Amino acid sequence: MTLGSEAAPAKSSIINDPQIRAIFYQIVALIAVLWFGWSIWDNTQTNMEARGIASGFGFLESTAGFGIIQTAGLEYSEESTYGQAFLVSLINTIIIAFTGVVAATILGFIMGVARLSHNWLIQKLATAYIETFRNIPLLLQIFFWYHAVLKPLPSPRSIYERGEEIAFGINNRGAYMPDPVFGDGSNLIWIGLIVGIIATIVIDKWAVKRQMNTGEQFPVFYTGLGLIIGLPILGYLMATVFMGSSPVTFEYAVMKGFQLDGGFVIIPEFIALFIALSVYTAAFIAENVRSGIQAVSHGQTEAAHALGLRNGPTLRLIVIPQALRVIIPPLTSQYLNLTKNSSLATAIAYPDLVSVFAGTVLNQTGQAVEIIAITMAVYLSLSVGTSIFMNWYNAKMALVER
Amino acid sequence: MSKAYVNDERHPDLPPPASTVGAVGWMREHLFSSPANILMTVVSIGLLAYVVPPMVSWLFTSAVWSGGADACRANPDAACWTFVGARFDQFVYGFYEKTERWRVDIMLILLFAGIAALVYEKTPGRKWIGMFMLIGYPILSWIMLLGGDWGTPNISLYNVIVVLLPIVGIALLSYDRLPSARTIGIVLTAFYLLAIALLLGLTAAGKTELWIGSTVIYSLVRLDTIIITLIPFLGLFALTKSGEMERRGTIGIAMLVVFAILVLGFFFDLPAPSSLDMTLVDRVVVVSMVEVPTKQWGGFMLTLVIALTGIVASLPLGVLLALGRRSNMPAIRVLCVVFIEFWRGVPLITVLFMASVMLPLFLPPGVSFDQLLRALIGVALFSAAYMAEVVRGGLQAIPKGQYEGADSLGLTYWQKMRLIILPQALKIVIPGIVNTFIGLFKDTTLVLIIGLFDLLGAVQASIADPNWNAKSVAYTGYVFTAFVFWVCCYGMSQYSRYLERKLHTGHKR
Repeated sequence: MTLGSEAAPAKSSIINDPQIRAIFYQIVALIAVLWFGWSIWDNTQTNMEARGIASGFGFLESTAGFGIIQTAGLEYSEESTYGQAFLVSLINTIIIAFTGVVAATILGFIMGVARLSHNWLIQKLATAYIETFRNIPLLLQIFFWYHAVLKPLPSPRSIYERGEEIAFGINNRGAYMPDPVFGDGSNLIWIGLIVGIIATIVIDKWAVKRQMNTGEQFPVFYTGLGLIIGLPILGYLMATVFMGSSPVTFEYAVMKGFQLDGGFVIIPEFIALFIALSVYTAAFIAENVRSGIQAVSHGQTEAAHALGLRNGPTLRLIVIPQALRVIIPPLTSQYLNLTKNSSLATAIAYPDLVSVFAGTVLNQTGQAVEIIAITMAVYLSLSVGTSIFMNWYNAKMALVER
Repeated sequence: MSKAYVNDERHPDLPPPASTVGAVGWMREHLFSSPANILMTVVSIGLLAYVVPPMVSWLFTSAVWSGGADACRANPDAACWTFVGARFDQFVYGFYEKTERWRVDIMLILLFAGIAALVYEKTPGRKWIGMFMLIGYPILSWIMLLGGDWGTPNISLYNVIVVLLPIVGIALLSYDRLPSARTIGIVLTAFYLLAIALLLGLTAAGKTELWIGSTVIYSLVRLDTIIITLIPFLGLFALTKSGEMERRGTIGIAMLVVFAILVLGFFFDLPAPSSLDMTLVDRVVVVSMVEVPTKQWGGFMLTLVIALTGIVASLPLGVLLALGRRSNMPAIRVLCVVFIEFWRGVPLITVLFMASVMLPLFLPPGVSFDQLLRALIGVALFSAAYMAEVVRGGLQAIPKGQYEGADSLGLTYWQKMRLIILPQALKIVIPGIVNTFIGLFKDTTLVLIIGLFDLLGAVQASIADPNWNAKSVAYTGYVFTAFVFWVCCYGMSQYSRYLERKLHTGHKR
């Protein structure tokens, strides 16, 4: 028996070598994409020249010449530049996204838990809520709140006398409430708040350490709550005593001419968008919460009970941490969806990024390429940032299997 | 002997306590089990009592069911259903030509019949109906809705080559056990020989044009065209001679390269074949209907057009992107990841803005799409990215052993995917796919922002009509639209849940 007679591996054509084929395909794909990109670039250049559209980002420096109805406390007037308009609209997007996320999370968690309630009626109501709002297009909901509910409200002219002061009120110009003015001495309130927060953090660290060492527990939550609410109130009282008058005064909206002036105003566009976004997204979050809680096997609860934990600690220490591991990834994508959906603001002219920047500024300057690119870049960086954070979070929370 | 008392009959079960069975028991358990529960129940009943009766009254009992706008103005606190009745046609068809609406009706009936046949599981030939709904129906509806003249294009030899070549090449490449490759090769060779002989003969005869009636059979032949035509001929000749698998692959690739050259010829105008008119057949018109431009499309019909186009385009694109993302080739993978993440990262509205504002800038001067087509491209690419992620989930869920098993059987990549992996992966993600469809269906409403009148757009426009300026009109319009969308989306989601239950055999808690 000889071993030398093994046949040499059959020589095959280069074309059948999977590695060479792979390289070939990739080169073809890259060339196709490059060619595609180049032809788009080239066509755009030609078309823009033919239509006399300027290019470059110089337009950000020129005067905008239009007003924005919600400037979020930033300095903005018709003399401001497009760059400032961009900034204001970006802030407006962030405001609606942030408030929407907070409201949708709270409502979504309540509805998700309610859907698992043992109370039949509550469970059915939550189900009805989820199934109704999840299956109606968001834009329709925004239109409903804006055009059907808020716009037909009476105008301030028709309900208020000239010179009348309004504390709280809602009309077709928005919801009005007193605007707090922080005068001298109000620093004490802020100092109280900051000290309260820092103290709570320190106490929490100390309490954890003590529990680790001695097993004794400390009511951190109530102490913290007391500090964070109590210290600013203390600061307020001190300021009142020292200054002889309250450091915080309220400015009311006043009927001047045909419209209301002053006060703290929430524009109807914001209200409609806020309600629609949070109600719609909450329905999705509720489903995520439900499936997250259901994903924790019942054995975990039973085991916790067997260890002697009561219902509260079982939920807090055993079920919720495990449910969160399931809930948080889809929850983040809901947050991203909400942020992206906030761009529907443009349909009711809430001055967000798409409405102001990709709308008014685009129409005025005609520089579609730059403006759409900036707008997309903002949303893209938001979602890429969130994805990176999520990957990091997932890696941190993932079960370590040994 | 003592007599023990032993009961030799089983005592009948006592009935359960009255408070745990029947309506009372159910209510005790589900509504009044604890003080907190009682409170919640009371609050819920209060809420229902506060909301439901006014709602029923608004929707039905005091609603305006007949009369005109005046009836609605007279009764502002109830639904104005006559408004929906008066505008119903516009809600369904938009501004579609009145006399041509039967075409829309036919397509709608066909759509509902098709869906019904697909949902009902015992329909014979479901697979074929599904294929038709995915491929045939969109083409048919495009023809029917747009109208105009439809038939064969002006067929020239060049067209024939350009169309046939890649089909042959790809068929040979993918279907490598073709039994009659030899016969097909001989037929094709004969065909090319004939075509070329015709060209050469006519050139030799000094004819620059040949007409039969009004049909141009042939005009000026150029050398480059002949060369281009010769290459596939040689390839096919080699193929019929060898018939070996290995070479056949080579030949297929060679054909694709030739095809690429031909296509590039179109774009760069290098060999200038487009200046050549080699018309074999003048246009044959098969269907002739009044053309209804897409500007007039609207209402629920437009909603369906956009949603269905998005669905049909996004599935194959999404599968390809998902495969690309899971590919071993780094360049392909990066391209797919960038594509997917880009579309998923931006809001649909900016995509639509881009499609309507920027797409005309991207195209070569002189080429333009109409507004609807631009929106459709945007929607299709957008939903393809979402679909890709859903399909990727399915691909990842298939155990590695399946991939390795297919490899060890010696299947090629496409065989492995087509026969082993995709059938399993797609089955797993059917609920996810349906959910993407639901999202897409709801998102179609966004096209109204770029000036297309879908259902919501039609309703929005009708509400603004000063003839119908009653207070209840806006509410009624939105409630009606919401109901239509809700029925569609809820139906789809229930179907997806049903499928999930059906496909999820075992592993139930």
